[in-house]
Amino acid sequence: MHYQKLSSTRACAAWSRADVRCRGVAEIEAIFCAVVLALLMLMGIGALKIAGTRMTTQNAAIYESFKDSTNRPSPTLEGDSLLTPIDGTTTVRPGLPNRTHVSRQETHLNVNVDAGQTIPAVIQALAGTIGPQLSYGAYPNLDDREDGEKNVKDWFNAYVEESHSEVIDPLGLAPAWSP
Amino acid sequence: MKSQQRRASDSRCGGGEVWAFFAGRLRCGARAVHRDERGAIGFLVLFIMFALLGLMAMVWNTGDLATKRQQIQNAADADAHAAEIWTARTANLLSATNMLICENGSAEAIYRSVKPTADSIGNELINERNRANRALTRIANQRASANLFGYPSAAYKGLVLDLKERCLQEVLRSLPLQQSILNEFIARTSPALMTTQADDFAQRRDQMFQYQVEIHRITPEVVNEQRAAMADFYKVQLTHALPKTPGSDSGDPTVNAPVKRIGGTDAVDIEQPLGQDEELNHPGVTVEKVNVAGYDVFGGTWGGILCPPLRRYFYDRNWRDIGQGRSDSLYEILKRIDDERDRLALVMDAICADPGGVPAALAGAYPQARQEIGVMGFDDRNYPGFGPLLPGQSRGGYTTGHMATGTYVNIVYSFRDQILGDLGRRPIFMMATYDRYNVPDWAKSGVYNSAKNYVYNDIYSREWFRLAEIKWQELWRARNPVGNPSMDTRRWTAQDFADWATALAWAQPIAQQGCTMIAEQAAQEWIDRKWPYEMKPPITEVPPTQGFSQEERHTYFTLITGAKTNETYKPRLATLSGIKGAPMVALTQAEVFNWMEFNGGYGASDRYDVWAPPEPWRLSTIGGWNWNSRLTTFVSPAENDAGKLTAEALSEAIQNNPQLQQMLESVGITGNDADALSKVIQH
Repeated sequence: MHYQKLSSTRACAAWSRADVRCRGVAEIEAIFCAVVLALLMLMGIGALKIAGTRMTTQNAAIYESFKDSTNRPSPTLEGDSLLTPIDGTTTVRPGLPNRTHVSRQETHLNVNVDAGQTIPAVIQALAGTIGPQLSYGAYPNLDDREDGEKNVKDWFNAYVEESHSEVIDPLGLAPAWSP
Repeated sequence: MKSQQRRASDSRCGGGEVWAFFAGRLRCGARAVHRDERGAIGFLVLFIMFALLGLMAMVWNTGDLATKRQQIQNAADADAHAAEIWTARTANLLSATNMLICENGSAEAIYRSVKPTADSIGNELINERNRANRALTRIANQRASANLFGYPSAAYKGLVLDLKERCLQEVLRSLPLQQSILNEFIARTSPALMTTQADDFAQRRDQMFQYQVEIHRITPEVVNEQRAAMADFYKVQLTHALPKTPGSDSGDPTVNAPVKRIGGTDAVDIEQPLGQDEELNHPGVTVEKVNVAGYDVFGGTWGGILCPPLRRYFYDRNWRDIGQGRSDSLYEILKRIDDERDRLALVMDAICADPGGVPAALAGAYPQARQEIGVMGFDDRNYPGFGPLLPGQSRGGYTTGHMATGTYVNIVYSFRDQILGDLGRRPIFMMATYDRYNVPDWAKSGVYNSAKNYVYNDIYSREWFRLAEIKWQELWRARNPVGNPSMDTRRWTAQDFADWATALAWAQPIAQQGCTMIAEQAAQEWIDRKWPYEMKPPITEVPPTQGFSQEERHTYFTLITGAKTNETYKPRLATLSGIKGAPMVALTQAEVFNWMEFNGGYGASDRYDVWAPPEPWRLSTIGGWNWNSRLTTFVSPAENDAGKLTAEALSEAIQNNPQLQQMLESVGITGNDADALSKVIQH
């Protein structure tokens, strides 16, 4: 009935010009609302996704770096002013290599972004502060980080070399008993 | 009709008086609005938009708080992990440099032994050559003499002298060869003696020790620097707490590696000079003597320990340096001298072997000649420097009667113990768990039996033969009242052998009884006293493996980090989030751990009832540089025992550290409310 009234010429003439301008506004507003709401929803979903990914990334990075620190003696970062090697571990023995901290410019991780999906990621600079295990290991390190056991042996042997290398062969001493 | 009424009503709206005009307009406007349906959807949309935006803001706010909470937990985790990484690294470095110091000390022991060894062996060879020449002269004189003392007939005597002469000529042929091997030893070692001075070793050890001191000194500074960097990055405050170490209002307790000096106290005070006999020299159990049937059976001292973990590594290392580490060791050179002397023994055996077909009256000449040449000690089976071999005895390993290697090993051992004493008097670092503990109850009977057997076996042979010698001399004096020969210079006759057998039979039960009494006394004191262990002995039986106790973890290895935001957060969905306007606080518990803790190869499976003296667990040495950091999980105290213990550690940390207390109080947590604490602990 109301629809018929709106659509009849007679009834329309009884309305003011403002009344005429309002016709169809509801539909427009509904369409507008739907668009805005859809946009907001998409933004919300995107935000949730980004937040989740960020947390997963961080966890994955910490997990990877923890693996790094427990399975390998590799520190992974260097070059950031916040992460310079602490003085003392190197300057105590001037002229000797830095035996406690040689870190990487960057580290490459496979980061979980979704169930079963990973993307390669490169962690640099301040990431070392987020996860200190990214930049420091519990073991002495040398440049070649591919073989942690070798690094430790090299570190040990360097000290033996300094200590009594000149008598090892003449006295027939056993090789350095590195761990 | 309705339209006419509306217009009539509207016409009334144009009244004459001012107040009536405005009142009328208001009434008319309200009625018009009330009647007008235009723009209704617009209001609805505005309202919905407003509500949705508000809702989204609250959701955003809650998400933001969740992110912040994650972030502050990350800050606490990162800081705790970082601090423990540094302490683990320091422990690893100190442990590794301890081993390096041991390697240096072992090298010094070998170095210092070289010249005395060469001198001693050289003198022995000269001495043997002189003895052999004198013996040949004596044989010539005996041939010229008609005296048959000790020989049944002239033919018998002549045969013995002939055999001895041939043996001595073999000795004189062998000695230059032995000397040439010794010259090789001297040539091999002379570069070391020329390039290095004896004091150089100690000087290098001092350098390593200074390195240790410096590493240890800077560790708390590094931990604090890192904490400051992280606090700046995360925009939070970070505090450290140790369960067993009190902090103060002005600062946190010092976080450092779980080490202390040998012989030191629980406090890590590396500047404190170390006393000469502080705990390093664990005196053994001494039982001087017991009297059995009027004869003294002498005991001795057992179980004296110099710094067990380090000593074990040092001894092991020295053992390898002596000869196990490489095929061209000095030991192998000297072993060639001993091999030559073994060959000499075989040659003399062959010379003195009964060829068969010898008249019965002369048959005894062959073993007698071998016996008489044997006691002169030219061959290693009878080398007097380490005592003659007795029936049933064998020489194996390094502490043998072999002249060259035995001399070398004994001299090295002498310097080794001297240097170990020197190491002990220096403040070398050791793990803090090193302390004195009683043998646990479950192990006492095993340790008692082990100790008893150990002491008994160690002294039985010695005392048996000492008593037998006393008895033999008594028997000899009964036959020859004017003489009083020693065992070394005795002239063996058939009667001497008979007396010796009698003396052995007499002495055996006395020695057994006396040694048992001594062994029981020593063993009893052994289990009654405290022993140095790296880790606290477990109260229950441990095999096959055993790690640290929870108490030790909390005492030495646990760190708790508290993080607090600088700002106050007030979530809009307060009723849902349960957090009402306050700073955020997060707690993390971390520990350094030794991943060889359960590895039997590193001493984790050492038992108390297998070896004597009791074996201390040895993470301080080889396993001592396998420390690393890990985060530990807070478990509800109600969940299990581990939960109770972690809760205890947290409780103690809160009680002992005012900084952490204040941090928790700022978010309304006082005391040790487990439920409240669980709100600030995410894992």
